[in-house]
Amino acid sequence: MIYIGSETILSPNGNVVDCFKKIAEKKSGVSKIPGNGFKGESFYCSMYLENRPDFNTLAAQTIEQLLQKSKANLLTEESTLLIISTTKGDLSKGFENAIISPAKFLYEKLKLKHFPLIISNACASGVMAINAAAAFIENKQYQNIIVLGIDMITDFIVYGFQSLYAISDEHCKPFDNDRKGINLGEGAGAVLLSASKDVFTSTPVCFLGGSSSNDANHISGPSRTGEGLFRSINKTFNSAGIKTEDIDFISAHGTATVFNDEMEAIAFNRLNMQHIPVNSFKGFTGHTLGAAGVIETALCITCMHENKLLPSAGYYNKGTTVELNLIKDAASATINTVLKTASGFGGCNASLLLQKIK
Amino acid sequence: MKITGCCRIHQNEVLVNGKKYFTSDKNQHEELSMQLYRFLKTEYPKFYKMDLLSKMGWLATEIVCQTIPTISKFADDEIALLFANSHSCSESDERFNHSFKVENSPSPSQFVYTLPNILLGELAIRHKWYGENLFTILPEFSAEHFSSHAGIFIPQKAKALFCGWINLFPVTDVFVFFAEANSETSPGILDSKEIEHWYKIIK
Repeated sequence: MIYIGSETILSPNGNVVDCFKKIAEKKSGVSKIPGNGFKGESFYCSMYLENRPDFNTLAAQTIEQLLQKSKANLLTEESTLLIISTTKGDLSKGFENAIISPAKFLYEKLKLKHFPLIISNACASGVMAINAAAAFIENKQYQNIIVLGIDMITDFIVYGFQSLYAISDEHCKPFDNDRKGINLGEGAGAVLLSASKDVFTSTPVCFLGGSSSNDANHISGPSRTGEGLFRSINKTFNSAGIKTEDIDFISAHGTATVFNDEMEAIAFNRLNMQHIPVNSFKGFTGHTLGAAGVIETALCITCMHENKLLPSAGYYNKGTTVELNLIKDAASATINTVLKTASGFGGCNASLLLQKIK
Repeated sequence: MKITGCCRIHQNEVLVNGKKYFTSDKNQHEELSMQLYRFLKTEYPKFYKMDLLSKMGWLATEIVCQTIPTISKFADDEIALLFANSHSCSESDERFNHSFKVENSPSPSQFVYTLPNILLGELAIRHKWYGENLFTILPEFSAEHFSSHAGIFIPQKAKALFCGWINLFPVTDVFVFFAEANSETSPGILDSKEIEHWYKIIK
């Protein structure tokens, strides 16, 4: 069995407990940032407005928070690996060193036994990093793996998404009929995976399986048929021996672009999952890119512990050609099994399954 | 697992399975990639719009595919892609940065290449591979990385593996190999000495 827990978030909206509470209360996590667009437009983002940490500080603090929920000395053990999930790393270190530089910093500062493994696979990075961690543990290469997902908002990223007309000038509305694009977000999330329950000081959940699949269709547009996502979820279900009816909650990618959300809706329908409660956390957290999969998995674990379905911020009216069961308000429910999905540029799609310890 | 085909590009030299395949009279990435593309005599119009990272990875993979006809025996999701480099897509980052800082017009076609795994998307599109992909960033080439990470995918999630090291700086340093299970070796176990051997054939 592989356990996953010590769920941690450090973001402009606070830690994992703060985020959970604010989402349940439908408080907004994004705000209008004056003049952050290329021509001085103002886009909504989830961004540190004061006391903004630098990349390395945020990364180190997130790991420190995770360690408070984990057994002592975990970090410097021979059998522990750190995996970092990021799309752009710390661009202030220059383009060539942006990704390696924070890994070197953490390796030295935290006195790690192994150089961190860095995964950079667009917006599916976080889910893929957790899946890779689970595979390492299953293969007995490591006993414990910390997965850190982190990305910060930069002009580079804002102007890039703006150039693609993929960024919204209001609160983003995943799966809604009036959705206009993403809100960017920044921050970090971390989870711990282990072969042993004893390394967690709070109750973990089980990691049942995960996989990725490429659309083999387009480098920046999602498949119209949801092919890669459909295949990934199918593979994940088969590997874990799980069926559609076992799923209590889906944490979708839900970026709030027209094409992404439609693609996901089609993939979920192809798997007959249209009736399962689903949300996107991005209306609250913004799209934190390489951190998203980890932050959202941390929120999923909290939902399981609290037995609470969290609303999909920004959703009001059906906005996809096929049905979905979007969660409009926080609700109590028994959540035993959760499907988390992510998709990204390069046609990548990933999924993973979490289940409460029986 | 056994390496059944590999392509090594170092500076202006291209070796396939250890044998000299092509030597460019140009040392620049862009010129080398175009010369090699013409030498391959393959029509693939999407090649021209790719960034350098994707071009180099695409060329080396294309060459390996041409030397291993049995690749087509694998189902469309049985080949996993495990690629890495040390500088991510810094060349495309510079270009996109230039587009908004100097040209005053952020270029969407350059922005989409500012993720290193776009290369894997290009390979998936080219070969209709729907399998697993992973792009990682390492401080330097490591045979150990590929041998110890093959088990992420093999044997549970894939039957064969395309691995690639696609570094453009300080010089072109590319190594792509295909590994598959055979009767003498265990699946998921890739010998790092074998990887090292084919990589070090020029250095």
